[in-house]
Order: sequence, then C-alpha cells, then structure tokens
Amino acid sequence: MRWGALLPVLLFAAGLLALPLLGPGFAALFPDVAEPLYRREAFGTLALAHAGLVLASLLPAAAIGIGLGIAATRPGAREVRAVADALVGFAQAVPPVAVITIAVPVLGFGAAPALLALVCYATLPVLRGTTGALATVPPEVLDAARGAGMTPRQILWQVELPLAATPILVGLRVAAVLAVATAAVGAVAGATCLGTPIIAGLVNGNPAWVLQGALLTGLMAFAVDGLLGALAPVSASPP
Amino acid sequence: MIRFEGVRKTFGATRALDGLDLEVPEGAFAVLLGGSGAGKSTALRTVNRLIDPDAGRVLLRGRDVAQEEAPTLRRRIGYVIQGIGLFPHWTVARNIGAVPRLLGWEDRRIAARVDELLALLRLDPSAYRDRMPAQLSGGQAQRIGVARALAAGPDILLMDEPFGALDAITRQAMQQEMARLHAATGKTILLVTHDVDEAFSLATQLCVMAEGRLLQAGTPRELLDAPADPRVRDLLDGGAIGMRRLALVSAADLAAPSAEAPATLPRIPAGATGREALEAMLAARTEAAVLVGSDGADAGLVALKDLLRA
Amino acid sequence: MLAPNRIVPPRGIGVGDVPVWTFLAPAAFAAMAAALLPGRGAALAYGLALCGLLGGLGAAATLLTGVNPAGRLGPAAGSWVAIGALLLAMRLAMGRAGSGTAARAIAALLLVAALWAMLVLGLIDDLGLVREAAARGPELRAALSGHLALVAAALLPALAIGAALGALSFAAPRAAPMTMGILAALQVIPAIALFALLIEPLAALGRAMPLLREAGLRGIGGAPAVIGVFLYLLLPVAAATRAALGSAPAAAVDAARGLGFAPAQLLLRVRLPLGAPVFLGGLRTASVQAVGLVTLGALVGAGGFGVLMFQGLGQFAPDLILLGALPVAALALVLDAALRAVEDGLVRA
Repeated sequence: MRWGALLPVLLFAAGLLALPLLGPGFAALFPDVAEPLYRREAFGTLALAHAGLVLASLLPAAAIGIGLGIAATRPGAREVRAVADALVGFAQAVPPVAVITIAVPVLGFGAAPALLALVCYATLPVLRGTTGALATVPPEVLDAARGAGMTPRQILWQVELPLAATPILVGLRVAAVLAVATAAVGAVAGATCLGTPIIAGLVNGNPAWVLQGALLTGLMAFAVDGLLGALAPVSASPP
Repeated sequence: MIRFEGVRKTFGATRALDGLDLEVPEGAFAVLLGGSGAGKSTALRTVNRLIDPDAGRVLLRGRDVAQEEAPTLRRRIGYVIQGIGLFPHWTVARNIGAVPRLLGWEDRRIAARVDELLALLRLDPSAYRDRMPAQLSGGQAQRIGVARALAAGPDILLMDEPFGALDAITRQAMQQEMARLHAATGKTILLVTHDVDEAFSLATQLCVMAEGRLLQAGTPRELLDAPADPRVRDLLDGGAIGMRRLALVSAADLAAPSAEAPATLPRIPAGATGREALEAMLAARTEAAVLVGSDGADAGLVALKDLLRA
Repeated sequence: MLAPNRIVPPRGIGVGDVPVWTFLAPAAFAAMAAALLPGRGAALAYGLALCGLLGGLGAAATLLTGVNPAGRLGPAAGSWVAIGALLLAMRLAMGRAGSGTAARAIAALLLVAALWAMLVLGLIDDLGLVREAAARGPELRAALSGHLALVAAALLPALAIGAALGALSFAAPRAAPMTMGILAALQVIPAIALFALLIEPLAALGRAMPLLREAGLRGIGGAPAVIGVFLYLLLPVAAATRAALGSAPAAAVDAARGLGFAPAQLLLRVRLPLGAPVFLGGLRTASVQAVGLVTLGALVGAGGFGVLMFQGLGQFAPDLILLGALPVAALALVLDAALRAVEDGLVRA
C-alpha cells in the first residue's frame, strides 16, 4: 500500500467540502453570472450518484470482462476469442457518447443509457487486460502444472490467475478511470452525476457551474486512479 | 514397468508415433534417443497422459494409463521439462511442495520433505527454501525442477530434454547428479534427448527412435556391438563407435597384474575407463599405462593391444 | 417503426405487417452461404445479405409509406441487431479465411461502395435515416468537414510534439518517467472535464489578446476541443515514438555500431526502418481516439458529427442521433483499417 497514492483521494474530499464555501470566490471570478454556485443538488449528492454509477457498472464489467477473458483463452476457444476481438474492435471505434445518445430513444432519459455505455466501455480494458495477461503465462509453466497433476480448475486458480493478477488489476484501474469519464458524459442523457453541473452550465451559459463540475469530475478521476493504484499489489517476482 | 503397445498418434498431417512398441523394465534408466521429429517427446507424454494416443495403449505395471483420471495419474509420476517451468509466483519450497500439497499432505510433512529434497540435490535448504525462481541460476532452477518432480515420491520420473537449455559445464554436472540419484533411489527413469553423449553417459537402456517407431532398444554396449539398423549406426556416429565402446569398459578389466612397472609409463586411477587409458597412452606416447589403486600402489598394467579386446 | 413524419411518434410495425421475404430472404441466404462457402466466400455472402436486408427494409419502407413524401421507416432494434450481427459475421469470416488487413480494407471499401450504389439507385430512400440525411445534406457535409478539420487540427501538432517528447524520453531515459507520467496523468482527466476546464482560461486569453480572439481562440468553440484532444493524443504518440526508437533488437544495434555506422546512420538506417510499424501503430491509436474525442467537442461548441448527435438528443430524434453516430464509427473503422493496412505493408516490405 503506497500511501502517497491516496493523496488524490484526500484532494477530492477536500474539493467536495470546500467548493460549497467558495460562492463568494466564484462570484468575484465570474461577475456577470447571476448564480455563481451550483445549488440545484448538493455536490456530495452528485458525487455519491457518480460513484454509484461507476460502481454499478464496474462490478458487471469486471465479471463480464474477466469471465469472457478466461473463456477466450481456454484451449479450443479460438472462436470465442475471435468474437471477443471483433467486438472489441467495433466497440472501440464508437465513442461512448455515441452509445449514450443512441441508447436514449430506446432506454429513455436518465441513468439507464449511461449505465449501458459504462458497462460496455468498462468491460473492454478488463477483457483486454485479462486475455493479454493469460496469454503471457509461459507455456512451460502450464505444461509443468499439467504434468504435476493439477486439474484445469487448479491450474486456473493457482497458476494462471495469480500470474495474471497484476495486468488484470491494471485493466480494472483503466476501466474505473474510464467509467468516471463516461459517467460524466451520461449527464447529456440526464443521468445525475458530477457531469450535471457541466451540462447545466453549458446549456445556461454559466461558466462557473461548468468549472465546478469539471474540477470535481477531474479530481474524482484522479482519486479513483490513485485508490486503485494503491490497491494494486507489487509485482510477484522480486527485483 | 512401462510398456508401449502399438502406440499411434497423429497431429494434423504429421504422424508423430507410428506404432511404438517398447518395454522399460523396473529400475531402468531408459533414454529415448533420436533426431527431431522422431516422436520421442510424444512417446514420453503419452505416459502421463499429457497426450492420449489415437491407437494402442500404454501400461504402467500392467495397468492401462487410460483407466485412470489424468490428474491423479500425473501426481504419481515425476515430470521434468527443458523449460523447467517453475511457478514464478511461488517460492522454491512452495514449488517443490506443489504435488504433495495437491495430494493433501500436512504442512509439516511437506516442509520436512522439501528440506530433504534440497539436501538430496545438494542445495542448502536454509539458503534456498525461500528464494523465488527468478533468483536462481539455470542449473539451480533445474535442480529445483527435479526436486519438484521427486517430491511426492513417484516411482517413475519422466524427463523431456531436461538439460537442453543448460550450458555444457552445468549440463555435465546435472548428468552426473542424475546418475547418482538413479543409483541412490532406484527409480525408473524415462529420459528424452537428442544428445548421443548424454544418452551414453546415462542410459542403462538405450532406445533409438526414428519416424515414430522404435529402431532398437538395449544396453549401450549391445547397440554399439550390433546395431540393428543402419540408422542406429549412423546416429551412434560411425567414426566414434570404437571410442564409445572403450568408454563403456573399465581399464582394470583389461589389465594384467604387474609387479614392477617402469616409472616412465603414465599413471591412471584404477577406476578409469578404457578410453581414459588410451588417452593417457596417446598423451605420453607410450604403449602402456599403469593403474594406481586408491592406496597409491600400482594395481596393474594395461597395454595398447589389451584395448583391442574391449 | 413507421411514422408519417419525423415529429409524430412512430407506430410499431411487426414482421407480419410487411412482406416477409424482405427479412427472411437475406437471413436465409446468409445462413446458407455461410454453411456452404469457405472463408472469403462466406464474408462476401454476409456482405450481400447485409445489402439485401437494407434493400428489403428500403422496399418495405416504400411500400408502407406509399405516396407520403415525409413518411419514413425507422428500423427497430431487431433490424439493428441483425445488421450488427451480419457485420460481425462478415468480420469473423474474413478472420477465419486468414485475410490480411489489405483484404479487409478492400472488403470495407466494397461494402461502402455497395451502400453508395443503393443510395444512388434510390433503393433505400424511404428509410428514416436516409430521409434525414437527404433533408440535411449541407449540414452533413459541414459536419464531415468540421469533424475532419478538428481531428487534423489536434492530430498534426500532437504528432509533432508527441514525437519530439517521445524522442526526448528515449534519448534521456532519466527524464522519461517524468514526461510519460505527466502525459499519463492527462489521460486520467475525463474528456468532458478537460474541455470544460479549458473554456474559461481560453476565454480569458481571448479577452486579453483580441488578436488571438480574431484567430478563433475563444472560450466556447473549436479551441478547447482541439487543445483538449491534442493533450490526450500526446501520450499515445510519445509512447509509440519511444517504443519505436527502442524497438531495434539490441544485437542489431550492436552489430551496426560494430560495422562502423555513425549515430545518424544508425538512426536512419536501423532504428527508424525497424521502428516505423510501431510508430504507425501509435498513430493509428491516436487517430481513432481523435475521431471519437472530437465528437464530445460539440458540447463545448466545436463542430463535427457531435452537433448532429446532440441536436438529435435534444429533439429526441433517433434518426438524427444515428446520422451523427454512424459516420463517426465508420470514420474510425475506416481510419483504423487503412492505417493497419499501411502498417502491414511496412512490416512486409
């Protein structure tokens, strides 16, 4: 656990607490704006909703990504791998905002379109991290494991996943940061989150709100990045 | 002990095993020798069912290996490979204890066994137990590989080109180590190699393979004296057959007792091979060499013409 | 879904309401072809089936809308899933046939050409998407040129500066962690936040220096999007440059030195040729990212296809949303395929 990595978390918390008190500051910075502080929802509420979106998408994304990644690397699953590769290829070409907007006519305004896009895009880095990591387990190690009499399940749990853990966690970290960003974009489809002040500010011509939303969204991304970076274990092999 | 009966295996268009028949007796150090593509590794891997044959069967002590669950079978058979394949995320002790752990041994028994095996492989248990594989040299890593294969006390050891990736000096040391281990434990060992010198220095039973079939099996001496097939003769390297034969006999067996040997003759240890005696004579430009016992006294005289009886 | 025009909520249409052959014929054809034909043939069959499905939808649309010139047929989820599945099947069939990237690029071009031909022949005129596109021809063209201009404006400086940063961190490995660390930290900032954060400083800059304002540097508009995307692209370009310079095997570099290559010759004749595919890989990643990121720029007033998407979102008009989203995806896929083909050409050369 590297405590330095928790600094962004503290910064984010400080931002959440301090921002509501900075009304006069924003008034001085933006003299033309009638309502310099975003007050429609408390920043804490927005942050909680944002974190909720991220968590609600990250768990299924991790399950799907790791599960599909394991399935795609089993012997005799070349088809699964081909399908996964093709899906990832297509998905990466479509920006998340396109998925969110396309989903609105089907799912309606609110959190649902954002959640759909979140799950889709958070799955990709986890899937890529998992297949990549499992593919790099040395073949002689797998041969030795089979020769030692491990069952396929034992090989997966005792050899493959521990060896692949670090890259999978890196994939999860990328997914989480991406999820924070995608959730913010969800505000265009009416999801309540830290992106809401940005969109409200852009729509109402209120640059102060835009700045407040952007600051907190950025800080939250760094906080999530730092948190998961701190949890990632040190590499298994010593220096 | 191990018996191959008409074993066949094809991979796509290549025929790896084309009706292999072979019997390896209990306690033998059997070496499968052949060029690449001869089917040696495939044959080895049918024993612990890493490969299942298309036809024919493999018997261990008269029992078809196909009748047993593959993982259970493999836990009774030691397996050593060229790539070593130590689990990089586990310590040396955990690596060696892998199979005992699968078999559900108690922790204390595993720990004791790990130390015993490290000592057997001449590695200091307190220094090596907690190292990670990345901290080992190639030779040390392969010693751990052998220790891991021996951990659960299997009575068969399968070795697939185990020393192929080691440098020449380490390889020779490991070969001597294996010969010593075989003599000390009496286990049945099946080793695959394409290195003729390695095969001769280790085998009690030499099995020459080509194109997925057995060409000839027997003691090294039998193969040298009566190669059954020109390919066996070619593989054993025609020009060196005489030297190889000399290397298989003890100089003492050819020597005559000698009371007083001239001091000008070269001295060699009493346990030397015929080949070492010849080398000593050629080096000293003499026609005889004197065997010296461990007490320092002359034990016999071997002459150049005696070597012809080898 | 059928609607008399864009505004009125559509009425659902089931398979039973239209001549069944329009849907079943292409599907049956695809299944048959895939079963019978090997590799590339199957891919071709899937492509034809896709065209057939669209043509069938178009014919159904004409049939259903009759003479109403504003009438339109919006394919519902089932049709979209079918279209997606056919595209995926086509891609997989190409993969199974072991087709190279060049063959894939040609296949993509063929598909585009076929769609274009169907458009020209008026076969799919009555689909909502096509109606919408026809009605918004100038806007669509403006979105395309705007999108491409924004991508180029972000990508070209990112290539120059990213390559310089990458080369710097290769030449001075001690500076590398710091440089790369900063670029990686930039990636963590969500795009929407970065664009938004750039608005105010840029607006202030514009107010302070009217000359820059004249040049188009304003708080709202293309500037924050271009600068934001530029910042994101620095990492892939710099990382690829660094990897490309280091991709020559140590033995090859050693041999070249031993043969008496001067440092410049080593760079020009060994490092650059061997590293070119790696660098192109970074360029490809950056280009595809740029196409996607620019879409979000419409939120802060930049142009491009994002404008159509957000307009569609505001009017709750699925056809308009798709008109913005589909070209973005197509653009990204085409760029990806084209640069991949060049990469492969380099590797083989």
